[in-house]
Amino acid sequence: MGHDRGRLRGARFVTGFVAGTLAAAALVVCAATLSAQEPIEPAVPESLAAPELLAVPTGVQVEDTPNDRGASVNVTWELSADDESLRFEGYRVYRSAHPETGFVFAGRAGRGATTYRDSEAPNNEPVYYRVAVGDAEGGEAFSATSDAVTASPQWFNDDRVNVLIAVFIFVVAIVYFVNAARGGKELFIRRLAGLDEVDNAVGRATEMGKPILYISGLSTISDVATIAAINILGEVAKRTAEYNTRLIVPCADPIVMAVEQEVVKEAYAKVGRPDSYNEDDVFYLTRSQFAYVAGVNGIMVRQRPATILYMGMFFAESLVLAETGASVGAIQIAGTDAVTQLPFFITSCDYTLIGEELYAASAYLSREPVLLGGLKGQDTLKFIIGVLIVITVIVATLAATGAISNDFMTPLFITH
Amino acid sequence: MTTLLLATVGAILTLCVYSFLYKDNPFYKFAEHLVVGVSAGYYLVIYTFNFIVPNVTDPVFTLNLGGEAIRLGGLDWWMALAPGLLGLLLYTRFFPKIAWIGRWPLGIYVGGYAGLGISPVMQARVINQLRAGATPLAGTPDPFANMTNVCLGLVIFIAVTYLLLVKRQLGARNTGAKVGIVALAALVGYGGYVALSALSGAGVVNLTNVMLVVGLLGTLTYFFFSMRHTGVLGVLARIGIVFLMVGFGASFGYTVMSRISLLIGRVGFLIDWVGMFFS
Repeated sequence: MGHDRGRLRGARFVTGFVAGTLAAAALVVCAATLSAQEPIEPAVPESLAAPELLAVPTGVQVEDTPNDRGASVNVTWELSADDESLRFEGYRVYRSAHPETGFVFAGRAGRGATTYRDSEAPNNEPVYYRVAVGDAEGGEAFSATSDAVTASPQWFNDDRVNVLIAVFIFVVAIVYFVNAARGGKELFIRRLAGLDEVDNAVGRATEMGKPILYISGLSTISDVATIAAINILGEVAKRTAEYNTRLIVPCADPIVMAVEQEVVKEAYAKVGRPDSYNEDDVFYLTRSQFAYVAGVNGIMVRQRPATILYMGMFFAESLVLAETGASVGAIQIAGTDAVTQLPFFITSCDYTLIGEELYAASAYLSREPVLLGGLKGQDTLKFIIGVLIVITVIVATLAATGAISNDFMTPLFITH
Repeated sequence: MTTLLLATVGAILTLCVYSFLYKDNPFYKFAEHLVVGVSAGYYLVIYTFNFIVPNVTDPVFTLNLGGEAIRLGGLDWWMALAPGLLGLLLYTRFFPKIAWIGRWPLGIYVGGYAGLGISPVMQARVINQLRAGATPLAGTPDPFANMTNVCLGLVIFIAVTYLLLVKRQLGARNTGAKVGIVALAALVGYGGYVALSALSGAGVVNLTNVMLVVGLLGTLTYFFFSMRHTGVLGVLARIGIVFLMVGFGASFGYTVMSRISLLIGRVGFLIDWVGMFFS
C-alpha cells in the first residue's frame, strides 16, 4: 500500500514536472513571437552602372506604413519598361540613412510588382530608398533616390474605429446586464435541451456507480471554446461533488490542466466537499493529438464511464472519441464551436451544444450574475447585428439597382 | 535494411492499434502507452529547445555571464524574463503552503488571452461577417442561379409531397392516388423552378443572395437566447436550424471522404510493407 502511494507520488511528480515545464514554455511563446527578428542581409556594392537594356523603375514613392507598430515603410514605384523582358529578374529594394551612399539590400519584389513593404526600417530615423532592376547576368540598374521617410509606430489604429465602437457597445451591454442581474432582476434564458440533461447525466453515473469523463478539447487556454469548457467544468464538478461521483478529466494542454485542477478543486470546496477532490483525476495526458485520443479511448474502455462530456475545441479526433464513447454505452453530451466537427458530435452524441450554445452553457448552468450579464450582452450585440444586416442588405440592394449610392456604408466595414 | 526495420515497426504498431476494432487487448494497450509516453517526452523536448532555450535561458543567462550579442537593456530581455519567472511560479503547486502563488501566472495567462482575443474576434467574426452578409437581393448577376433554382424546385417538390401525403394523408389507401400526388408535386416543383428561373433570369431577384440572407438571419435568431423561440422568432429559428443541418450534412460527407482517403493511405502502407518482403 505504502509502496503504491510512493509510486503514485513519484508519478504525480513526473507528470507535474512535465506539465509544468510545458506550461512554462507555453507562457514564453508570446515573447518568442514578439522578439523574433530577421537578420539584415549584408551590404551590396553600390554599382550604379545600369545595364543598357534594362530600364529603371521611375516614380519611387515612400510612406510610413499607417496604423502599424513601427519599423515599416511602404515603397511604391512605376513598372520598369523592361518588366516583361526575358532578362528581367525582379525588383530589389535598397535602404540607406544617406541619400547618396550606404544603401543596403532591404528586400525584393517579383515581376509586375509595384509595391514593397520594408518591415525592418529603423524607427524615428529618416531613411532613403532606391529600387533596382536586376538582369539575368547579375547586373543592376538603380532608380533615383526617394524622398526621406521616417518609420514610426502609431498608438491608435484608425482603421479599427468600428471594432472599437462594437467592443464599446458590447462592454456597456455586459456591464448593464451584470449590474441588473446583481440587483436582483430576473434575466430570462431560453431552454437549452443539452444542458438540462447534465443533471440527469450526473445522476445516471451516480446510480450506476461509474465515473464521469470530461474532455475539454485539444486547444489551449487562448481559445474561447476552452475557456467556456472550463467554466462548464466548474458547474459539472459542483454536481459530481454533491453526488460524490468520480470525475475524470484528462488534459491535452499543461496550462489547461493547471486551470482545470484549480476549477475542480474550488468547485468541490464550494459545495463543502473539499476532501472528495482527487487531484490525480485531473491529469495531463499528452499534447499529441492522436496519442491523446489513444489514451482517452483506453480510459473509456477500461473505466467505462456512464457519462462523457465533450466541451471545447475539437479537431479530427472528435469522431474517434465519440464513437468509442458510444460503444461503451455512455450517455454523451458534446459542445463545440468547431464547425467541421459538429456534424460528428451530432451523429454520435445524445445531445450537442452548437457553437454559441457552448458559450451560453456556463451562464445557463450557474445562473451567476456575471455570466448571465455576459450572455445578455452577447444577445444585445446579436440583435444589433441582425438589424444592421437588414439595413445593409436593403442599402446594397438599392445601390445595386442604381437607386442610391452606398458609399456611406464604407466606414462601417473599414478593417484591414 | 533500416527501411524495412522501421516499416516493420510502423506496420506492427498500426496493426496493434487496429486490433482495438475487435476489443481492448494487450497489443492495443502496448501501442497506446508507447505513443502517449513517447509523445509526452517528445513535446517536452520540443517545447524546451524551441521556446525555453532560445527565449528564456539564452537571453537571460548570456546577460548574467556578460555575453555581448544579446539585446542588453532592451525590452526583449524583460519580455523573456517576465514570462520565464511566471512559468517558474507554476511549480509552486508542488508546495501546498505556497501553492496559491501558482494562480497568479494562470490568471495573467487566461485574462491576457481572453482580453487580447476580443478585438480580433470582433473583427473576424462580426465586422467581416457583417460585410460579407451585405449582399444585394436584386440588380446583380447570379452565377449560381441555376443551381439555386434547382434546389428550390426540389424543396417545393418535397414540401408539396410531404403536405399532401403525410400531413393530409391523401391517397393513404390507394397506390394510384399516391403516384398521382407525387406526379402533381413534381409538376408543381418544376413549375416553381421555371418561375424562379424567369425571375432570376430577368434580374428581378438574386435568389442565391436571398437564401444567404434568410439563412444568416435565421441562424442568428437560433442563437438568440434571451427570448422564447415562438411566433416569428420561432419560424426564423427553425429556418436557421435547417440551414445549419444542411451545412453540417455537407461538411459530414466531405470530411468522411477525407477520412476514407486516410484509411486508404494506411492500408496502402501495409500493402507496401508486405511487398517489401517479396521485392
